[in-house]
Amino acid sequence: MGTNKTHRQPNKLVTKVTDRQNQDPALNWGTQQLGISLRKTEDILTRDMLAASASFINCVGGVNGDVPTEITRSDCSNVTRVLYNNDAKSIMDNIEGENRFGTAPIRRSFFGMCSTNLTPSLQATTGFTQVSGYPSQTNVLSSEYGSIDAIRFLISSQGSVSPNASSTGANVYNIFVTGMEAYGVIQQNGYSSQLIYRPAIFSDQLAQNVSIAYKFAQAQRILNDQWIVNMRATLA
Amino acid sequence: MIGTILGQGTFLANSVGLVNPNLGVASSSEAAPTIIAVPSGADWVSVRNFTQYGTAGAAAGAYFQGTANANIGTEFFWQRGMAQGSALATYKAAATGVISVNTIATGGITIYDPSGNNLLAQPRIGNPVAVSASTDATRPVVTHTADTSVVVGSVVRMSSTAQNDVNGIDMVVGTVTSSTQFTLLTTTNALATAPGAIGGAGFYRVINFASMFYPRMRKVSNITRASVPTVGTTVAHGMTPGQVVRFKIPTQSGMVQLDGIVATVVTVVDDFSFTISVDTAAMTAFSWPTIAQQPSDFPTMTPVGEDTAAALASNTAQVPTIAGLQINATSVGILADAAVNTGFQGLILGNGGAGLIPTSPIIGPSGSLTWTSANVVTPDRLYWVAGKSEFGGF
Repeated sequence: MGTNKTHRQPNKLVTKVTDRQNQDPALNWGTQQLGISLRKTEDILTRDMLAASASFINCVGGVNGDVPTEITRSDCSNVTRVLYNNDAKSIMDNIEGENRFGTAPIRRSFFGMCSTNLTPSLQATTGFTQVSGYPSQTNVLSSEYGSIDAIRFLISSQGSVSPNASSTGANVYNIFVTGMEAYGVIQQNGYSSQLIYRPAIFSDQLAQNVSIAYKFAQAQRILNDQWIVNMRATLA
Repeated sequence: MIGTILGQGTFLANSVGLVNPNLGVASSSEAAPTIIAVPSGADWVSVRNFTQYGTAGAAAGAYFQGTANANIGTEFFWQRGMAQGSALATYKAAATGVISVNTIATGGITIYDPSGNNLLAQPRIGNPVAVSASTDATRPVVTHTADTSVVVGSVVRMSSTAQNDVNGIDMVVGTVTSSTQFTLLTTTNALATAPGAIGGAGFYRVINFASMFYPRMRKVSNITRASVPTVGTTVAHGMTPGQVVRFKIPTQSGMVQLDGIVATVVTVVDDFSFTISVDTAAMTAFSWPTIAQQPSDFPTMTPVGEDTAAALASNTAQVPTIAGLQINATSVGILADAAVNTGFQGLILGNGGAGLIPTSPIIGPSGSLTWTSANVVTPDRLYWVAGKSEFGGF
């Protein structure tokens, strides 16, 4: 229902045409969206820190003619060898083999965090086991896509990409292969994520609209540079 | 008014990396572009050149990109809705105090947001520019189609040339010869060895951002063999004395004895090189991976911490700096290695461009430099005011 509202302040006249509305559904929807945005922002900050600071190893075992090449099993083996040599601890325990068709045991693994754009390349890599081929679905993460060698790949649409950074100008995908406690995120005391709701009387000159927001502060850094490797790859 | 945010500040025109364009002769020239932080963002900005307000005009005799045909701007205005990089400009067209007005389409004022979240801001990566040739040298000379956006200190990323060991590697531009030619790298961070063949046709893109977080991993272009060796990086490193870095040296780069070794930064030579505490005199010579060795890994240095004792011994130099300016939000002293988010919102004040009518160049809102016959520089002093508006739009 449209209404005209007039509000006089000491130095100016504020006139608004407004629609009366039930704000609860919009508020619920907004809260959900802000929650997603909050967690996504936390991840993006950590992702950007890793992209800036982690040492990298180029994939070189592929055949696409680019530098770096597409990901291969030999590149995964090389990265895990480097992490083993540096005494990095794997994050996930092994999944023992079971007598089930189409499954294969999964060894103790590091995490490889990467972009969803890499899924066709991963699928085409020799030695790739997709999540559905694990003997057990216990302790499988929702973002997990599969496993090669001792790396279990977690995918995200927010995965790190270096645009036009290959020899041919293609995008280079940064796959952060990390052992346990390779990096840390510290949320400051009293300033961890807060969802802030203000009713209309505190948000608006005319007490018409509520506001909702979030704020947080966090610090992130690599704790041991030898326990994380940025494996750089182009698409197959 | 409620919702209006105003900001203001002052700066000196930036001469880092620039020399007198007419060596041995007194002259005036453009300064390097300047980025000012405006945390709120800005809907409009005004820049006034305090020095040039009280100086007679250059009468189209100031140097702009190597040619003495420019006037020096005295005042610039830009507001949201105008094209990025443009500005309304006033200047003195004759050697008098009479003011003229013009519009510049490039080299004016541009929104800066390295996060990539502001679609109106300068893009993080520029459009590809065609390259016709690049030389087989430790500082490859790149010939390209006309492009005035590359200045000394720009970072470019080559692609699709025959030099696949240079492609994809961000490199600083050390010299701009003309609008169709520049030289990669500087005398202090040239590649240890030439790529192995000429580059031929391909592309480059101007990289308008550095990684958001400090300290930053960097690709290593050269390491000398010495008791206190010098390390070159392909782009500005931002290191400070006392910081500790770990090297990754692939077999293609020769000096594998340094692979995995941690070294302390002893001195910072310049933005692109520093000395370290590890004696490399007896190690295998360092080399840049060649074309024939591709695909390969590349040598890098990764900051891993701080040698507090070494840092305390040179405490006055513990400020992470690039181009003479402290990197935004970095810590100083023995905490100079702290991991911080360097991102900020701001404005890029450009070094000028051609006017619309008349078309002679106008030195932009980053100010001008005055050089003596002894090649000593005096920068302009500029003041800026920026604001967010209460209402309105484009």
